[in-house]
Amino acid sequence: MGVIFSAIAIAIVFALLAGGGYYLGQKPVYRVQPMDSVRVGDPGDNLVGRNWSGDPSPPEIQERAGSSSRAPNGASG
Amino acid sequence: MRFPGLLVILAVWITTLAAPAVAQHGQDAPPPAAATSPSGANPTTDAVNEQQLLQQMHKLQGRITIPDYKAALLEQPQGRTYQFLHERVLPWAAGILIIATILALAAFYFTRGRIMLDDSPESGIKIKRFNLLERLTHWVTASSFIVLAITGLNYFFGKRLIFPLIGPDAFAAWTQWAKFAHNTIAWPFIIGVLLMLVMWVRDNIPDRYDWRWLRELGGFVSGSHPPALRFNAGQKLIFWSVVVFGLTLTVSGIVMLFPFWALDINGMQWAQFFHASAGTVLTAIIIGHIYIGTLGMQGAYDAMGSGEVDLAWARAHHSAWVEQEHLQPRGAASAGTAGVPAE
Repeated sequence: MGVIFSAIAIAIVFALLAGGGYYLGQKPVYRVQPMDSVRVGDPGDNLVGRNWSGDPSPPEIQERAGSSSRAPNGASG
Repeated sequence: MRFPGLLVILAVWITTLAAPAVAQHGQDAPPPAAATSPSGANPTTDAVNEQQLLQQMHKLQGRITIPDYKAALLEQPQGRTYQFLHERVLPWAAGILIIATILALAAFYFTRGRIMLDDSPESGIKIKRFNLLERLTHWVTASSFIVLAITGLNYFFGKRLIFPLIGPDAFAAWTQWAKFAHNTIAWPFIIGVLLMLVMWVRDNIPDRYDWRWLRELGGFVSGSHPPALRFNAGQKLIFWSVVVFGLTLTVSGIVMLFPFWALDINGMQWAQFFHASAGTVLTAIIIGHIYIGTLGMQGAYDAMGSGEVDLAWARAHHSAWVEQEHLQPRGAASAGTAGVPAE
């Protein structure tokens, strides 16, 4: 069994070296093929911002919606 | 005179209502005379349409301004063939092949049993069969292939068999790690296949003993082991299968590890098809190889375990090799039997 465990260890070491080199050598496509264009956000970010919690109606949005709905009434009054 | 006027208004109204309905049924009304060119010819009749382009070019490609040239390919009908092969044919073929192999081996084991050293009990004399480098190469390749086979089969059967059992989150995590392992462990497998090719190709060239070995199915027909050199015909078949399918996996795998540097989308799809097919066939062959090397035959594991085998085992399974490599140099004692297969 010793030769089997030795071979597994060799395989893991070689896999980490060669495979690690392979993964470290990879670049994201936006670096390989850069373009002069408008970017709407950083990679990994999203359009609703980094603090987005997943709540579809956070309090600040509700407050904003409430104030905007009251504004026309105030203007007309 | 008021009545005909109402009829005209009603007719115009009905025509206006009916026009969208006709268009929705895909039956375009013929263009009015005013829409044709002044010369009277329809300018669109001679234009090449999409179907003609597909038939002539086998794909539709446009021009784009972004660097990713692959995005210029708009339509590629070969993708449907690939999808049919990859999602329908290959999973069924792979599943049937692997399950049939396991069932055949189980049936063989329960009917024939383990192949034992019937007529030649262990002699107590050990002879060297594989050196350390050979054994390390074998086990590096073998352990790599087991990981590659499991993670590779996950591409086929994971979403069909594992996903319903463990749910989306666990399956996503497992598949992500499986892909990482597959792309990483591939490298020692490649080196192992190339080393085995270099080390053992000389002993796996077909020789005069192979035809008899195949004719007697390794002794199942005749009841006695046919003579063989270092590798019998069955082992040579395993070796050349590993070389052919291993190199197929290597080439197609490297092409996929560095996508689109050598092939276009259609070529990548073919690479994936060949990779999956070769991997499936080799998996079935290796299952048989593992069976013979462990459960199926007494003494077979020792050759790759310790590197030494009992002389009786070697005489039973590789009699010509024993004569050639171990008895001949000793001189006079076996000089008379040199070159004669030991039965």
